[in-house]
Amino acid sequence: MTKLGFTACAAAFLAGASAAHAAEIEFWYGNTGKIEEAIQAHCAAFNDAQSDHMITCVGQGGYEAGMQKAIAAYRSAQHPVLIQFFDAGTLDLMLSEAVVPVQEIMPDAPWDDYINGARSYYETSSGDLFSQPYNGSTLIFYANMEMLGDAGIEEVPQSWEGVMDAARQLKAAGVECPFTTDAHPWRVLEQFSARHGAPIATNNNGYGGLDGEYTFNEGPVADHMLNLSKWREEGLLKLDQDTVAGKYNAAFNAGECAMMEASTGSYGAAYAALGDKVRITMAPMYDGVERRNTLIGGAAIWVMKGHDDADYEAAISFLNFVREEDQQIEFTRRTGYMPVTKAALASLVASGKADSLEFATAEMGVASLNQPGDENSRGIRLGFYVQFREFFKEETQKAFNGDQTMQAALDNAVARGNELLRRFEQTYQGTELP
Amino acid sequence: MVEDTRGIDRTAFVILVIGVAFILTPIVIAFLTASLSYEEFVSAGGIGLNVGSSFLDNMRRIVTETRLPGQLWNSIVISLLVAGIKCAFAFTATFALVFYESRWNWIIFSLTIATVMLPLELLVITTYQIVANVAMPLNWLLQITGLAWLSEQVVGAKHEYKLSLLDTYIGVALPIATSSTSVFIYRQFFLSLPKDLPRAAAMDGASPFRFMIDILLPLSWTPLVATFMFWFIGGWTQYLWPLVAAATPDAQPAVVGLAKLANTEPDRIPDVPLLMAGALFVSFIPVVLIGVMQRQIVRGLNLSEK
Amino acid sequence: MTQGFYTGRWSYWALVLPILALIAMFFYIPAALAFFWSLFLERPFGGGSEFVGFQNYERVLSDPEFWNAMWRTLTFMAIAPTLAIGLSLILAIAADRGIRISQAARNIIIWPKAVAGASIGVVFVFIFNPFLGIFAPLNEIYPGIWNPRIDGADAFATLVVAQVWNGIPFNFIILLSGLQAIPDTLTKAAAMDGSGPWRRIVDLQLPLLTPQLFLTFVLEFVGTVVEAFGLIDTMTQGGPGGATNLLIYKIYVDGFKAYDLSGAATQTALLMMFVIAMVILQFRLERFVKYER
Repeated sequence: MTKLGFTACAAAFLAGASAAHAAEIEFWYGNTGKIEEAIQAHCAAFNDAQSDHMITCVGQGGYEAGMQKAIAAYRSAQHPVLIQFFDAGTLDLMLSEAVVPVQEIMPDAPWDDYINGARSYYETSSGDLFSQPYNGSTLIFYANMEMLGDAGIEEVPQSWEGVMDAARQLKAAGVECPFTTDAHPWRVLEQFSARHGAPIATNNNGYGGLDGEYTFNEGPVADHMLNLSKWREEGLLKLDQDTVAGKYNAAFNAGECAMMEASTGSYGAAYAALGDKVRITMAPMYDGVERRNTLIGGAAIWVMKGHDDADYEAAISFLNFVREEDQQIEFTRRTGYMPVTKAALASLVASGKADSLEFATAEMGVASLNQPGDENSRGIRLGFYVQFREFFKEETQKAFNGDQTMQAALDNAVARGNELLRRFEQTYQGTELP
Repeated sequence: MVEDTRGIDRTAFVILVIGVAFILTPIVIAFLTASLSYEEFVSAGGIGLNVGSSFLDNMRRIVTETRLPGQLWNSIVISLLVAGIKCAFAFTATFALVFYESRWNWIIFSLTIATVMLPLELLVITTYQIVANVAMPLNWLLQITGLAWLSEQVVGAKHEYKLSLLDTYIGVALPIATSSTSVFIYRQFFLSLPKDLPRAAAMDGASPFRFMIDILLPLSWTPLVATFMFWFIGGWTQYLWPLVAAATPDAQPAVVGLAKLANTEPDRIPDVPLLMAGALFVSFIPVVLIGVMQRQIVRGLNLSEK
Repeated sequence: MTQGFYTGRWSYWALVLPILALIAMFFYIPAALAFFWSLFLERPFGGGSEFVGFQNYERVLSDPEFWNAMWRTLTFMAIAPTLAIGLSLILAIAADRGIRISQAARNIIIWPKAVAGASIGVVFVFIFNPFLGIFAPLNEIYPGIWNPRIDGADAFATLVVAQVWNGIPFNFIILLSGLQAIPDTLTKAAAMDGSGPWRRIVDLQLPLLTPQLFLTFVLEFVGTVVEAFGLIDTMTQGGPGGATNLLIYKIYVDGFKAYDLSGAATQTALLMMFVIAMVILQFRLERFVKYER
């Protein structure tokens, strides 16, 4: 029966080739499109560069699908050695007892070299990295200088106050969509609260233990969300659903919207569409608030339990390989993701390429991640966070659509989120937060 | 009959025209849009009646630039497996249920028919766990019976059997094939056959097996072909189960691939002409099948008595 | 119940075993497993599951979102099948007139049966696009009057239209074949009694069509609970603000995106009970269906 199966074929192929190599391992990743090509290039380069190990990289068609398959595979002990997983699932994996901390199996790697925002997201409370940051991005601000210039604006605004002044000016000049975002929690909640030094939840966003509670319905995040809905009513802000293009970044790239907040990873498409009209800067702050680091987006590579030493040797070798400066720079060139170690960034700057188009976001992004941090800008350590993001989107969307007030939406999101946290606590009863 | 039916016939005509228009509108819009190039589409700024010249070009891009051709092949294999398994298993089982004397008949019939009540979509979460390791029930069995403990004592190590069918054709097809409506249809058909058929065959010295193959099978050709076509299309149009059971794009059927294609380029206005061409590409085979075979399907499913 | 003729025991089991193994493995075990999990708090990666009795049920049943999703499912079930069957009935009666267009209509109306829900979704999401679709001109005159991305009712309506489009062919074929099976002699006799063609529809055709109507309602009701998934996933993803988050989609998101295996299993169990109860209810109602002619 299994003859028809792809996995079976792959397994047979691996078994046949096993004589030539010390260990063959699998790496499951979620990305598709250009990023998938870059990951496959990493794997091919690794296999070419040495002959001791052999890695097979298997695309899962999405982070969530990859995780779901890893869960099922782990339950039947058929899981890969390495798996890439995205930021929001960090705590779920940390407590799964299915992974080995990377710093534990490779204590001598230069972990201190990882940039601040990337480290803190994936480290334990004692400061050991649990997984190796791989494809890193962060939030930055984009402006279409042609549209700004036509409205008489010369500089990209740095503060929210400045953004709104510019937006009013643009609107007066006849621009229908001055500023756009999709109000995804990654942008308006996580990245916003981190760089404003505001907490999302108690216990330092969960780093202090599983009994934290969400608190963002009061304070800077709540103020910002209320502002967003006010600005939208004023016609200064458009969300995905208000744009002709249907998606905030498509609307920016099509010249429909003049400014947007987006991931560093959006730069390639923006440049392809708009050329040097695009100007980027760090994400805006409210006046009078000291800037903290933004959080790393994208994903990290995790090492899964239950394999033998030879497999781990191969995994370590691969993790070291993708950390090499050349490999990181090549990956950045192909994908728009940022280098995640200081050494790689330094070597990029030294090569003089940092100012060229492909690397335009690297310095800006790393600078944003490397701002001084505090206990609220380390990252998110909250259980069932993927599900919480859905709740947040649902409730705030209702508010944007006028079905409830924004304050009610935030209160509901907090209440539903707290229920998730309590259930998570109960599910992992007796487990220590690493 | 000398009856004035002009009024009612005119009403019927209008109703049918509206109905056909409702059915055809999305298809026509899909064709029209698929004939535009991306640039034409973006500058047109909406649905128009203009016919472009890029239909073949969009189709060429579907074939050369997307994974849909390979996924079309996956769809064909999966649908054939679904239809084949459903028809074969139901045929043999129904043969037994109708032509054998057994006190189990009623229970087995109920067990198979009950599958109609709960569609696969409802059971996706746990079916996924089973398909991820089809040996799981065996492991449970060994544990419950104590055999696992016994072998652990003998061999010295705990052994769990594993076999994942995720991302395989058969793993996608088997759970879809569980719904056993065919049993019901075949049973109706068998019961309509002359009662003396097996007796006559037995007098000629035919074994039950021979009777099934040589006499029943040729007689059942019409309902068999109809149900096969019907389940083939049913397998083709499945979405939720293949979406989760086949995670890698290489293993997914075309319908899933089309839905994924809609989300590949979030950074620009979606290439709707390409998507429409894809939708037509994916639906072509089953629509032609149902168009050509509709008479046989309707007759074979015993939907029409005329 | 049979014309049982053969008695061989081995051959009997050999014939029924394949289908029994198949449904046991991929239907009964998964169904049982869902009930089993609903009593536990299951860690996604295993390695610890805690028996919690009916706590998951308490949680789900006291969660307003579950009831919202259930309520949306019920609303959808009330609207979509009624429309799909009602329109099919009107079309079938019209096609049964045997006028010139009937044959062509029969051929065309069956097509959507072969188009997958997800493919329909991809097409309809474009057709109903507020800026590019067929209602775009309306939006130019009255801005914001139609936007399924913002207005939950609009989004719900698009789902219903797509579901009805997909549901018409099968109902149409069943009802039409039912109509055509009504013997001409009955029609002629009624005509002799002086009842006109309109009268005959109400007095003769509809009563004789109850078995087919019953069948279509049973299939449509069970079908709409789950078939909407492909449409939702490609058209609205449950939005805006959860307005199209039917239970089947919520279960998928909870189970496959949020790794809440226990919650998803509990909701699955509840939905299963609901569907079974509904099917049983429908068959209780079958007494009122006239089968004899």
